[in-house]
Amino acid sequence: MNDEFTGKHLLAGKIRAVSFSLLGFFLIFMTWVGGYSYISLPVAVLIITEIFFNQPYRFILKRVNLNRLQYYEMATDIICITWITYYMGGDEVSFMALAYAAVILWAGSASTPKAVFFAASLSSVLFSLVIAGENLGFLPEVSYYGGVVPSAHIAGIVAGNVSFFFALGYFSAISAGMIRKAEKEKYEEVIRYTHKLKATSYLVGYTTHDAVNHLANISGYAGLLAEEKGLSGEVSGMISSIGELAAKGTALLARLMRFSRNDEIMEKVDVNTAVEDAIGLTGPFTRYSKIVFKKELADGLPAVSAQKIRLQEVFTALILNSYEALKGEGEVLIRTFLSAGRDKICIMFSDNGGGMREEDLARVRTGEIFFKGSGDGKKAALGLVTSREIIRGFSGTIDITSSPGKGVKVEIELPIIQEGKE
Amino acid sequence: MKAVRILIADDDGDYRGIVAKILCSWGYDVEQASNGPETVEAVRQKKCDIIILDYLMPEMDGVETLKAVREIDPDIPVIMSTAHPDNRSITGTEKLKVFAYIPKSSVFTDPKTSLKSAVEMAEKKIA
Repeated sequence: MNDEFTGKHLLAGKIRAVSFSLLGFFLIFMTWVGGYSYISLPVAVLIITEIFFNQPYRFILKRVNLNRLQYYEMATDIICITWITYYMGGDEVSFMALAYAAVILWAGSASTPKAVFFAASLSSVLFSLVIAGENLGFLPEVSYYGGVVPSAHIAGIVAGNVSFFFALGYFSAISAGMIRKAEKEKYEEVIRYTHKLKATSYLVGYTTHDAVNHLANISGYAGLLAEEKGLSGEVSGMISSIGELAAKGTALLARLMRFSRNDEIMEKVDVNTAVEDAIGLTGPFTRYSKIVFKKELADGLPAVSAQKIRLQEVFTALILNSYEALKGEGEVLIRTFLSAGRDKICIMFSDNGGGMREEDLARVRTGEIFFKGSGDGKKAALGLVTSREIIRGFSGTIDITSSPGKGVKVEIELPIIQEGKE
Repeated sequence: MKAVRILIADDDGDYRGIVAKILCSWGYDVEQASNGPETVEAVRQKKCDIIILDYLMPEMDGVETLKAVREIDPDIPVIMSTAHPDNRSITGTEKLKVFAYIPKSSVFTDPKTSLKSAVEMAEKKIA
């Protein structure tokens, strides 16, 4: 959420910097072609200040309270616009009213109804003060609009624009509410998905348990039959095959049963075994593709402290992502090795698929989209954000790198268990 | 010499039947119980010397049954059989003196090294 808010600030900052630059050029242009000279030293200073002030940098945004900063930014924008309005005076104020409108819209799109109300109110008060004050003689007349406007006209301008600000504010706040509602629905969808996944996992656990028992019984009956006397060699062979197939089925289901469990216990995990299990779990469908899984698993790696099932979930998701990215053909390389500092285990998943564009990669990192391969791959099991949360829970890190045409590489680092520190 | 009596407690009738046949073929006397209360009752009536107990049973699971058994007979050897033995399968049984844990699948695929060795070791204990 904070990343999203920061992103909106960065975008809004750029838009405002460009807007004020254009306003500056417009005023210079007007001076040049129209004989008007709205540019004075205070106006120029304000425009330049705005351009720089509204160019927020990421390192600043990370160190300030963004919610408070947006009020300062809105206030300076509105004061700046009012100042320029004061200099312009006359009929051009309607043009300047658009600038107020932009601030009010920004408040709605990026923040809360409270911020919209603040922007609309401050715009109304300052705008009214300037128009009324200048024309009624409270403020020194600095604009080049020399005519005296009848007070009824002034009241009309003020009332019309103030109404417009609040109407726009209302629209902006409603739109913001709609956006929030859509975001809430998206969040609820994720929750529903998670619940369904949990229910499925629960059912898988118990169904596989029963299926394992049935297979065990099949093995048992096959064993009893094999003990019968006078069986031909062919029949004995078939009975033996029944037992072997049941054993294979049991091993497959046992792996699925372990995977479906939601164990919370931290334990010593052998990363290579977790990788092998993840490859085994995805085997039933990856073996029908032309994807080659290459393993370079270092021998004798120390254990890590983790939840084996959670780790398998991450590995399985990464294999599925590669599977989707490769579209049925290619190579997936899985490597495990000890870090240079010999204090971490590195697990690397890389594929030679189409890769991802930098902008998609950024969206994957922020969790905006599911991690998937290039192109139009379907949603894979886990997003990178979820994987990152799991890996973080084990004091590890996960990073993804890619470029178009060069595949995707995901690197995970997990600290090894230090002897005596368990 | 009187044969050692083994009680197979499991809600799966097929499993009980197959294990019973295997154990009979090895010369043991076999009793069967399809749930926890039947198991407890068999122990109360001293119908068995060794118990092969399923971890997951309806009504009264293996751990609850074992607790009740231990109140009657603190020393009878109990072999827990589970569909898949792992950390979770032994949760709750740590202080209940389980003699051995055997995976159900291995009982049939490799009976001589899992079931037989567990039963023979239990037999030595009661000898």
